[in-house]
Amino acid sequence: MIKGKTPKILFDEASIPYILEAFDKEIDEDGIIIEKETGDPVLTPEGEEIEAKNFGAIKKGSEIFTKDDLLSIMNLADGKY
Amino acid sequence: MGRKKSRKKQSKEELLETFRKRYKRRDVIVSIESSQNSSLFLRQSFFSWEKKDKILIICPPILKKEYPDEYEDIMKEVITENFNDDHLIFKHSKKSILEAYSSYKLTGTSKEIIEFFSDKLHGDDVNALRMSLFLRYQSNNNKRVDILKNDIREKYGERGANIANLCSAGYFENEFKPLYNSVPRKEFEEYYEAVVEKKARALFVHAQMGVEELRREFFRLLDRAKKYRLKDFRIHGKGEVNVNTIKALFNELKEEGPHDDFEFEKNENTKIQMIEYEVKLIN
Repeated sequence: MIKGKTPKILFDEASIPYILEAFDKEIDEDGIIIEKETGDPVLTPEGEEIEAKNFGAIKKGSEIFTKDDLLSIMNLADGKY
Repeated sequence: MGRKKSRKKQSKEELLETFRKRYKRRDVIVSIESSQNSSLFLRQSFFSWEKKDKILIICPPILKKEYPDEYEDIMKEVITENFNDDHLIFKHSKKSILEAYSSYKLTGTSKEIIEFFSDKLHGDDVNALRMSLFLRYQSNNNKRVDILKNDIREKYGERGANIANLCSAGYFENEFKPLYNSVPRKEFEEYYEAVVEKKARALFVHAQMGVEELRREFFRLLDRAKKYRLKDFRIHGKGEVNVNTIKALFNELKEEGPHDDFEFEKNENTKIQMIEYEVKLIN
């Protein structure tokens, strides 16, 4: 297992709210991941909002949230985040 | 494991210690499964330790039933403790792509072509190319690529999809790279745009395309090739249906007699069900 590159925690789609809760995030009425306290949308490293259904990963580096699309997965594996 | 009736209920701290004993071990994965179809949910169990596979499975909805006032703290502790140890939290359904990409990276097969184009093309095209090279690798290894192709198209539209097709057919190594090294930059860029954006150089036939539509696209491509003063263009097809569609069109064109403005040559690989027609413009 490679720290930061090999998943330690895996989650299914139905578990997304529980994962987000642990990081003080939640899903707004439009299905977007937001900060619980401020209501601000959580952004990817590319500056994009994340729809909960497209949520892919969280990487250490002060909580980097990414989507689950191919480019995000590649960038994670390439250490670009 | 984790069934209400089989043992005295552990305190929150005792339960966390039970979890820690497992996930602190090397190579143990924590799988958080809340789907109503998951085996834990169906058994109404809140955790399971799969010793052989080294997987600790936790089912939050059932944990919530068992520990309604403490489940949030328990989940937060499990997740953040593992996260803070510099690990990755990842969506289960995409794990196979991550693993496939990690294996592909180890081969180093596409490193050179990416390095070559990384400072010569627009950033989005470089990313589309990176994705396409992986897609090509997966396709060559007989893996399903429809989801990957979809991701490229969603991210970069038709331009991205065309880059994927051109990449699969070897255009970046066999045409764009040699061209870049032999003509002025401006000329390369014009040609590249004509091919990638205007699709003036190649047509990739898909299963929904019948002979009539292919014929229309063929003549559109012929006009574009004339407009951009290209010497030739290609029609590509993979798979039995697409190969037959292309063959049907070119048989028709052959029967229509010699043409003043173009001639064509076939290149077929029956082993992998692939066909390519090179159409040369005359005058």
